[in-house]
Amino acid sequence: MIPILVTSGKGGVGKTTTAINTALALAMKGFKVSLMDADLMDPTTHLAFNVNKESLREHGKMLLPIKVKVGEVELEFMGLGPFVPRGVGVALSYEKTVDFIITLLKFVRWSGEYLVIDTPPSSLDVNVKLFKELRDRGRAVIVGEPHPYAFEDNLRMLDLLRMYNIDVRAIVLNKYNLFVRELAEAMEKEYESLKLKVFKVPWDAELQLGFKPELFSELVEVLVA
Amino acid sequence: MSLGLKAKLLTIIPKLVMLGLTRFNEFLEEFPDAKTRSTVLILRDDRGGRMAIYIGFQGDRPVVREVDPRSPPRATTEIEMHVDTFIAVLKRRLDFRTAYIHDLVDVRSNDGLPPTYHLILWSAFMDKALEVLG
Repeated sequence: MIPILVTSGKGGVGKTTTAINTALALAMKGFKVSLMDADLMDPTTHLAFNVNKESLREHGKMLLPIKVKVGEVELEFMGLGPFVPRGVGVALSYEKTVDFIITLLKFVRWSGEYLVIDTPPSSLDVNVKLFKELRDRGRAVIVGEPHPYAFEDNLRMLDLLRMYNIDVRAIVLNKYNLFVRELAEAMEKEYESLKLKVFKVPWDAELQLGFKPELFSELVEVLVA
Repeated sequence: MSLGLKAKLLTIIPKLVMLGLTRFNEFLEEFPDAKTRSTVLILRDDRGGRMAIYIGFQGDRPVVREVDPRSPPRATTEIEMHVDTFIAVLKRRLDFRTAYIHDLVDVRSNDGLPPTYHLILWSAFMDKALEVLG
């Protein structure tokens, strides 16, 4: 199984949307795909699939991932979201957060060829723990907006990922059309100089309302190559 | 055991747990390996009082008994909380998962599985038990 981290230096830039649609785009290409929500501070991925805690099951001292179907494709999913009651603030200590992540990574019977992981934003210590676990074998895509602050944060994230020998292949520049064009183009060139394939995703109301994996099919080609 | 009135009332807990176990067959459908596990549930009060309940299996038969909290038998899981937390959970004023997330419940693992794993099992069991208790 090849882990694909969907990560970013900043929060709220579209990681979850990218993770879900990337997973679906992979599945539409015929791959068996698992999707893990590791964003334990703000778990939301389960909302896209209407997953609830009653769906949890175990077999052979491993948790079984939850099967979710979107159209004709099926994914495996697991995350903290279905486990935490709605509206409850998640105040997990570092130790508990890491324990949750280890449980999700190692004690779920994942069977996908690819494991897409929606991560928490920034270089939080829990992210570092996750990167260490996936050292030398993970692939990654960074998600950001073409804004100067996001750029600085993503440079740090890129450095961190490469420090753990995670193969960062691409950056998704979300809501590309909403930012100053000259700045966005300058950043695009900077990212390309750092050997990242740049994918520009325009702001799209339909992405808020549902799935649009076709927007991510070119990204998937780069991630599986 | 230096227990106050509240804690004395809690001596009915083994019976409550046994009652909760009446839904155990349903629970086993979702978590079939639970029969191979055991738990020591430890409740404490503000005055240093502690009580411990062992929950396990002998064959297919559930075993629930009060044990000495100073030297409880070894179990695959230890769960510890204040009696007020436990009462709040039983009264459904507090969700068991929320109690854990907010550090009101400690889960310790003795079988190599992550504490989170045991927490997930226990949360599912509590859901079933609370349905029985009404």
